[in-house]
Order: sequence, then structure tokens, then C-alpha cells
Amino acid sequence: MTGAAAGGTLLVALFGMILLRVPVAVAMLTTGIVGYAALAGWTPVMGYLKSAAYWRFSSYDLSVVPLFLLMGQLATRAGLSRALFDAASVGFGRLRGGLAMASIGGCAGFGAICGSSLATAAALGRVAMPALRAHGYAGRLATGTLAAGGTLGILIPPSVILVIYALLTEQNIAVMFAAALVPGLIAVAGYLVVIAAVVRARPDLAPAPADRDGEAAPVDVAGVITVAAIFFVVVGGIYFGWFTPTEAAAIGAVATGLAALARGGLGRDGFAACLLETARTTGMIFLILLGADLLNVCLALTQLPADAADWIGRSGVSPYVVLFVLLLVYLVLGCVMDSLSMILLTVPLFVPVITTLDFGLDAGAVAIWFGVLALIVVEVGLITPPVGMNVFVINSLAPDVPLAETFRGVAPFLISDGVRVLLLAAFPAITLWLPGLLL
Amino acid sequence: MAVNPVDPVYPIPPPDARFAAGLTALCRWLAVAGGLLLAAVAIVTVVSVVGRALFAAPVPGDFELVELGCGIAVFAFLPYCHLTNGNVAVDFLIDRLPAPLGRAAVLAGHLLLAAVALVLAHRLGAGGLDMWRAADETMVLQVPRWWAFPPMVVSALLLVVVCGFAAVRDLRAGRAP
Repeated sequence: MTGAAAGGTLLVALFGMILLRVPVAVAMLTTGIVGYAALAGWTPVMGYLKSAAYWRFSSYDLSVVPLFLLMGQLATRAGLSRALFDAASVGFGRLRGGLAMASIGGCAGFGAICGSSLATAAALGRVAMPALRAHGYAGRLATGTLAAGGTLGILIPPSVILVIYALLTEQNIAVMFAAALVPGLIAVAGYLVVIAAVVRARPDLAPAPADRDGEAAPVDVAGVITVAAIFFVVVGGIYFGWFTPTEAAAIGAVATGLAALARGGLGRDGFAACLLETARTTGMIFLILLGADLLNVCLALTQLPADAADWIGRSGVSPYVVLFVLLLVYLVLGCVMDSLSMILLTVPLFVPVITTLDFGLDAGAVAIWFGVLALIVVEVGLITPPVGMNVFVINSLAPDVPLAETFRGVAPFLISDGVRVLLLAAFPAITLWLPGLLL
Repeated sequence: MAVNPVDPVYPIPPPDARFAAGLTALCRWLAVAGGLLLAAVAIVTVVSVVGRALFAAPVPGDFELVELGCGIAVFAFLPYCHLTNGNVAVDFLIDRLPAPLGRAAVLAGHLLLAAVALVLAHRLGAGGLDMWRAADETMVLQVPRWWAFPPMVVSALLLVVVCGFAAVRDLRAGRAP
């Protein structure tokens, strides 16, 4: 069997199992082990498995993942999302749709100390949803805003998926975080514009702004300062090289833990709940990582990634067409898969292809730029049917809003996402400017 | 997806309620222990950074402690993760297929992971023995590397039990979780 045929068989078996509801990690592990044995014999596989899991799980670089997850869990306990939302409400209060804009602002702020979309959507949703509904915002504007706002959690650093992308493609985590910052801020601006446009076109969706700030809640200044300080130390520390990403994540986890403790949100049960939720997500991610390792060994044996990159490189197709097709694949996969599994499955195949193409940039820059584009497109899967996880999380907070209404509310934000992807694809400098200052 | 009555084709006894409660408690306990280890790793790292910044005295070999702690902690998370259906799966297609097929697929997922976990436990046992015989130690602290393996093997074996339990549980429930 030729390498390409063997690689193709592996991928068909893998996606077949995944479609048949075998957990993604299990499908990767099974195909990886059996494929490795078929290609190289059982002895090397059995030898490989003696220590592969040990080295993969006790990796200093990867320890940043559970630490960031723990930090995000502790942040949701610290009541910081309310402080951010209240502060943003004061800022946007005079505008029609101001509370919806404040929700986006709160999501962006929370995303700065939390590396996961679902956690951000849930944390802000719990705080902002009751306020939005009490002030008479239409169901679809409230749910659509919060579901879309949640995606800022992953785009604005720190970001768990970016950490994993950086490790897979051997990029510097600081550089990846720097690359995502400007696109993240553009996303915030785009979402604010969307809300302004929506309430202008449909004034019935949002109440008229309150005349005076009479009943505005007092702003929890300490909470906002805490968030800003943690973001500055953690992300700033990574950018400026004061400490390693693992050290930064450890500092962030301890600092948010202390903040939660000081603000009275962290009892014994609350702490145990944080640990269990961290355990659940970490277990899922690392099992997929182990599966991805095995699968990559197999794919490398078949030489499929290198052959594919070579073939596409010689075919003379425009690099931008290839980029467009790859992003389209993410959009389609995003209909059925979660973002992390998609990144882990596709990066070993896609990045060798994309980095050999000529975009007028060096290979490292292309990898960084592609990572940010892929991240945005992958996150779109979180807010589109049929399995938009963010939408489900937010919808559970507003059971009276039908799911279809929520997806309708998300649609305008998708336009903003589309425009942003085109903008970033057309002008790589937007993404690469800040990392260029660091290098 | 509709809940189907238990199919008589699968004459598997229900998991004992006390066994279920015990297994759940064990997995939770192990996951919390792993989480506390992770928190300890975070605190050691912070102490090391502060020591380095203020007194030019980091905790020696702090990154080795991070590696060992994280490795053991992550393994301790796996049984709880699978018990609570934390391993993501794509149920897009299965929801549109006949129920018995869906059930078979769910069962296959659990059993495949059971097989993988069993192989992993066995191989980690062999790997730990190798490290023990070779007296492999970490660079700075000279911690014997085999120390990490027994907890990992225990976690992997517990994962096998969880997979078996989950298979019976989901069969009885007669639907995808």
C-alpha cells in the first residue's frame, strides 16, 4: 500500500469512528495504535506506549493548560464578571442597546483572565442575562449577544487553544498571544458596531436608554482593578518575558484564587467544584493530545502530510484559494465538532501545507497568521447550528427564548466575524504587527 | 432523543447502586486529589518566582516538580472525566440513526477506551519497571522517575473500571448519554 493510501485509510477510519459517536480522543487513540502497528509492527507500538503518556502528561510546556483552566474556574467564582459588567454598563449606559454593549465589554474583560469560550459565556451570561431581560431587551438580542460575546474569551489572550496551537506548531506562546490581541480588539469593536446597527434597524429590540443614572448599581472598582492587575501580570509577564507561560498561569491561578477567597466566593465546596470542573476539561484535552501524538506518528510514517504539502505546492493553485478551502473545512467541521478536537486533528495536516505556500511571508509568520484565522473560524462553530455550544449554554439561562430565536440573534454577529476574517486574511500585517514588535 | 425501554436482547444486570455510588465517590476523590496536587504545583511555582525575583533564590528544580505533579494529576483526572461523559463525542449522525445502532456505537466507544486504558496500564507498568531498573532520575532533584508510574497505573486501571461501568449504565439507560 502506498503512503497516501495508508494515510487516507487511517483518516477514513478515524472520521468514521468519530461520526459514529466514538469519543474523539478514543477514535484517535484506537486508530493511532492500530495504524502504528499496521505500519511498523506491534513491537515499536508497545515500546512507544511504555513512556509516551508519561512524557506527554508530565510536560512542562503543557502544564500551562490545566493551570489556565483552573484560573478560569476560579475567576468565575470570584464574582469578577459582575464587576466588569457593572463598570461597562456605566460606560455604555447612555446608548440605546447600552446593556448589550456592556455585555460585550464584560465578555472582553473576562476573556482577558479566562482562556475558554464556554466559561466566558457562562460567567457573563449568569450576570448579564437577568439584567438584560429585566430592562426589557428582546430575548434574541440578549442571547445572541452573550453567545457571540463568549467567543471573545478564546480570542483575547490568555487562550487555551492558542497555547495548544503554539505547542503543536512550535511557535512561541508569547508571540501567539500577541498575534491574537489586535484581532481580538477588532472583534470587540465589530460586535459593538453590530449591536448599534441592530438596535438602529430594530428599535423595538432594546429599550430607550435610561435618562439619568439614578438606579445604576455602584461600580465595584476593586473588582475591575483586580481583573486589570491579573491580566497585566499574567499576559504582560508572558509578553515581556518576565516569566515562562507556566509561571504566568500559576501566578494567575493563585491570584484569582486569592481574589475569590477575599471576595467571599470560595468556600470548601466551591473550591472542590472548581477542581472537579478543571479535572473534567483537562482530562478531555490531554486524552485528545495523547491520541493526536499517536496519530501524528502514524501520519508521519505514511508521509501523507509532506506529500500533500508537496502536491499542493506544485499544483500551481493560488495560495489564497488553498487558504480559503482550509478555512472552509473548519467551518464545515465546526458544524459537528468542538474547536479543540478540530485544531488537534487538522493542524498536523494543514500547517505543513499552508507554510509551504508563498504568501510573501516567512513560514513562521504564516503559521502565526493562519493560527489566528483558524481560531476565529473554529469559534464560529461554537455559535452556529447544529451544535453551537455557546448558544446552548446561554439558552439554558433564558429558557423562555426558543433556540431558533437565539440562532437568529447570533446571525448579525456572524456577519461581523466574516468581515473580520476577510480583513485579517487580506492584510496579514494586522495580525503580525504586534508579534513583530516582540521578536 | 427518545428514551427506549431496555432491550431484552441485552440481558446485562443493572449496575449495583452502591457500586455506582462508591465508584463515583472514588473518581471524585481521585480528581480532587489531582486538583489539589495541581494547586500545590501552582503555589510552588509562585513561591519560586517570588524567591527568584526578591532573593535571587528560586525553588530548586521547580520545573521538575511541575512536570511530576502535572503528570500524576492529569492521569488522576481521566476516570472522573470519562465517568461524567467529559470526553467529547460527535452525536450529530447518531441521533439520526436507529436507536439500537446508536446504542451499539456508544457501547463501542466505552469498550474501545477500556481496551486502550488496559493496554496503557500494562505498558506504563512495564515502562515504570524500566525506569526503576535503570534508576532513571530527574536532573536537579534526583527524584526517581518511576515514582510517577504507580499512581498513573492505578488511574488507568480505574479508567478501565469506569469504562465497563459506563457501558452497562448506558445500555440500561437505553440511550446515548
